[in-house]
This record gives sequence, structure tokens and C-alpha cells, in this order.
Amino acid sequence: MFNLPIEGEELFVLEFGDIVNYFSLYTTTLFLFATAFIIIAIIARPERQTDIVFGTDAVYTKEINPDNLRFQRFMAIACGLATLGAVCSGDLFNFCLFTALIGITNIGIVAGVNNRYVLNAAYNYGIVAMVATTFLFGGAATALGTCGTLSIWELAGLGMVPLAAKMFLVLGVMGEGMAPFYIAKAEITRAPGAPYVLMIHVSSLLIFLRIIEIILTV
Amino acid sequence: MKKESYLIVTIITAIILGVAAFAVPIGVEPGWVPVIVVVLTFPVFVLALFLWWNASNIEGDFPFTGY
Amino acid sequence: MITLILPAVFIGLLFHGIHRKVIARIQGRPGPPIWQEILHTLKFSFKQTWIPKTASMPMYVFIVAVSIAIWTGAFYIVFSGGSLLLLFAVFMLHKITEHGLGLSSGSPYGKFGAIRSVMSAASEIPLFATIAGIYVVTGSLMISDITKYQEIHGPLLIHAFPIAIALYIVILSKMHYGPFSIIEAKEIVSGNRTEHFGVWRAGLEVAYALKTFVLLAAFVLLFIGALPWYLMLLAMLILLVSLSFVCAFTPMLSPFDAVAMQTVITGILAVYIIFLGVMG
Repeated sequence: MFNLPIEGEELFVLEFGDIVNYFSLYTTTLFLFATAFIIIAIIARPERQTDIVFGTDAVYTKEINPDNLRFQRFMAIACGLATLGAVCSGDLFNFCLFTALIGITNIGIVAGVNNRYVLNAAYNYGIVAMVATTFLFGGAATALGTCGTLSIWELAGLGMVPLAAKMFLVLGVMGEGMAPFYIAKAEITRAPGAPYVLMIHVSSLLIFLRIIEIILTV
Repeated sequence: MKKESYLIVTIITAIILGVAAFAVPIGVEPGWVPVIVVVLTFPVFVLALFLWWNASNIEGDFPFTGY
Repeated sequence: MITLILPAVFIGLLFHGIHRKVIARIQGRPGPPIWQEILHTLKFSFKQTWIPKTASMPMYVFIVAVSIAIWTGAFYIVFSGGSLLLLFAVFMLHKITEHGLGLSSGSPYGKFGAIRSVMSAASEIPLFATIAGIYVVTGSLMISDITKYQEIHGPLLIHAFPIAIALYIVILSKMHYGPFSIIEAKEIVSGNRTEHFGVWRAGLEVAYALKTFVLLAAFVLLFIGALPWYLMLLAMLILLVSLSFVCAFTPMLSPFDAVAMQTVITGILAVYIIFLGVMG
């Protein structure tokens, strides 16, 4: 791909004017993986979380409210679709837009749980995601300012994008993909996990993998 | 599923894997198609094989589920 | 193709057995026979199997299949001289499957295993340092180009030693009974694999055998170069025994220490790579 020994061969290219969406062996793998998890999010029953009553041997199973479930499922599917967009877009601005969308839908997945503490945590993620948006679009803007284009197709192999812009993009992606923050807080043990919370993780890691490909290419 | 259906899945995936092993002599193009096929069928083959020889023909005990 | 995968699974299981044996001998125990892990896998595959009532279906089963599928893919990537970035992607996807294994069952132990798996995301960053370092040194990320580079310039193990250490730590963090394997610590039963029993566990053993084989083979290919198959297996065995020594002598770190150690190692590597990039 692009005559660069980075991501394997080119499989498919889709042109929209000057925006060129492309699939290499690498992005196709990510795309297929995300697709599989979207299908799972659509068809899977949620887990029925068991919890230990503190200080005793008793174990109880949490009930899942169907209304919450519907909203979480919708958000998980939206998150998966945004991930598909992020892994196959050939334009830095589109990539940033899809990544910001992943951040928003991730917050939605968490906020769908009917629990005061979990909702509180969702606000915190919202703040992190908002701060990260500044870096993300700042990185894209810096790239546009120095190179005059945002098309990865045009920029590939030129090495024109400054290091600062690349660092901004990585910082932005790390803030938008909120899996590490989510894990660091106790909320994951309160909110039912599979398959919706797993979607947070899938999207976070896939955009991280994509940004690595982008910063090595441009 | 019944023991027979696991067996059928095992045999089908085994045939697919066997054909994929000879993809290069047959001349399947492009080269990554058999790889995708193997990646998709090998897990199914492994799980179906295990489930096949695991599945019992007789009624088993009920597992102990607590008092 | 399948003719290569099946032996790889058995050799990987045998490697797990040798790993256990070496650890046992160092600790003064007789230890299990080296084919114990092969028997283990067969034993699990014959055990009565069902699906817990609290599990998220079909995710509970799907995630086992995904585990096997990604390492089958990784096997081809390594042996067809594919992109190292793709191998890195598989490693990250493995993290998703670890997380999914724990979350899909509804068990609190599984969930804690899953949380620890994501917390130790620092174990992936040394791998990224490896990739960046190899790109700086050889100018390519295709494994075929890297082996060609080594035919001309000699093994990377000698003139990029810190990068080899980084990959060594990545492999160490994925070994059973290692200092960084906090996701399967016994205080959380079996971590994320707690609720996957019987056939599902046997499937996971197959996936992990392939994982061990692929990671050891990748190390040998990347840092020593292309070898005939018997020398390759010998090099992998020596690498494995060295890993077993580390596992036998170090206790399992606490989750906080494990993450801190991995982060410090990554920091040192980042400095080394910047030094390489600027000076060389």
C-alpha cells in the first residue's frame, strides 16, 4: 500500500472526489473484526451480572431493565458503525469526526445504566472526551495548516505532517477511546458488561490501531 | 444440538480445510483467500470436533445446582 | 496450511508442558510430564459442557472461536512474512478477547480478570516500542524484509538489543505463571477463564498454544533471522526455557507493580528509540 512497507497490500479503493477511502490488508482486518462485534451486539443477550453481597457468602443476579437495554444496544451499534467509519476513512478530518462520534456513543453506552454512580462516571468521561476533542481536531488542523490537504492518500510517504500534529492526534485518540479510563474507575463492576461495554473496548483499541497506521503512513 | 449435527459440521469444516490445504496447487487467486477461509473455519472445526466427541447419546445426570 | 496449524498447536501445548516442567524442577518439585498440557486439553474436551445461565449468549461461545481465529491468522502473518503491524493488531485483538471472556460470563471473578487484562494495557506498549524500533533500524515492517535485512547485516539481537528485550518482556507478560500474568492470579480463581469450562476451555487451550508458538517464532524470526525448521524449533525451545527460568524465580507482581514496571520499561525504550532516530 502506497509503496510503503507498513501495512500489507492494497485491496480496494473508493473515491469520493478528493477523498479516497481505502482498504489495505491491515484496515480490512480491523473492519472485519468490528463488523463481527456489531453483529454480536445486535443478536446477543446481555449477561446477567452476578454480584457477591459484601461480607457474606450470598450471591445475587442483577435484573436488566428492557428499556435501558434497548438504549444501550442502540448506542453499541452506533459505536460499532462509527468504528467502521474510523477504520476505513482515508481522510484525517473524517477520521477525527468518527473518533469524536465514538467518544460520544461510548458515553451513551455507560450512561444507559440506571445507576447514580455510573451516571456520575459518565459525566467524567464526557469531560475527558471533550478535552480530547481539542487535541484531536487541533492535530488535524495543524496537519492541514502545514500540508494544505488532509487526504491520507495524498500525504502518504511524504513525511510532511509535523511530529506535534501526530502527537496531538494520538493524545486525542487516547482521550476519546475511553476504555483505560473506564477500567480505572470502579463503575465497570456496577454496570452490566457484555456485549455493550465490550463495544467500548473494541472501538477504543481499533481507533488506537488505526491512528498508529496513520502516523506511520503520513 | 444433536451429536449427528456436530459430526456433520466437523466433517464439512474438515473438508473445507482439506481443500484449502491444496489451494496453491489448484491455483486459487488471490493468495489470501484460502487464508481467510482457514481463519474462519478452523475455530468452528475445533469446537465442533470437541463438542461432537463430548456429546453423549445417553441421558446424563442433572448437574448439582445448589440447595 | 492446516498441515502446519495442527503441528503448531501440538508443539505449542508441548511447550506449555515443558514450561511447567522447567519451573517445577527449578523449584525442587518433580512436576508433571511434559505432555501433560496435551492431555489437559483432551481432558477438558471430554468434560461435560453447558452454558451458564448468567452468560451472554452467543458472545460466550463466539469469543472462544475469535481467540482461535486471531491466532490462526497471526500464524500465517508470521510465516508468510506479512506485516509486523498486523501482528501487533492481533496482539491488541487478543486483549479484546481476554476482556470479552471475562465479561461474557456474568461472574465477578471473570470480570476482575477482564479488568486486570485492560489495566495491564501497558504490556502492549513495549510491543509498539519494538515495532517503532525495528522500523527505525530496518526501514520496513514486513517480516520478510526484516529477515532479509538480517541476512545482510547480521542478527538484530546483537545491534538492537534493547528492542529484543522489549519483545522478550511482551512474551513474558503473556506466559503462564509469569511475574506479569496478573489476569490469572489465583486470588481471582482463574481470572477471565473462570467460567469457561469443558469444551470452551479446551478451545482456549488450543488458542493459547498457537499464541505461544506464534510469539516465540516471531521473536526468533525478528531477532535471529530465518533458520531451517529444526534450528528454529531449537531456538524457540531455548527462548522458552529462559522464560521459564524468569517465571520460576519471580513471584507474581501485584497489579499496580506489574503496570508500573511495564510503563518504566516502555519509558526507557522510548528514550532509546528517540536516540536511535536522532543519532542514527
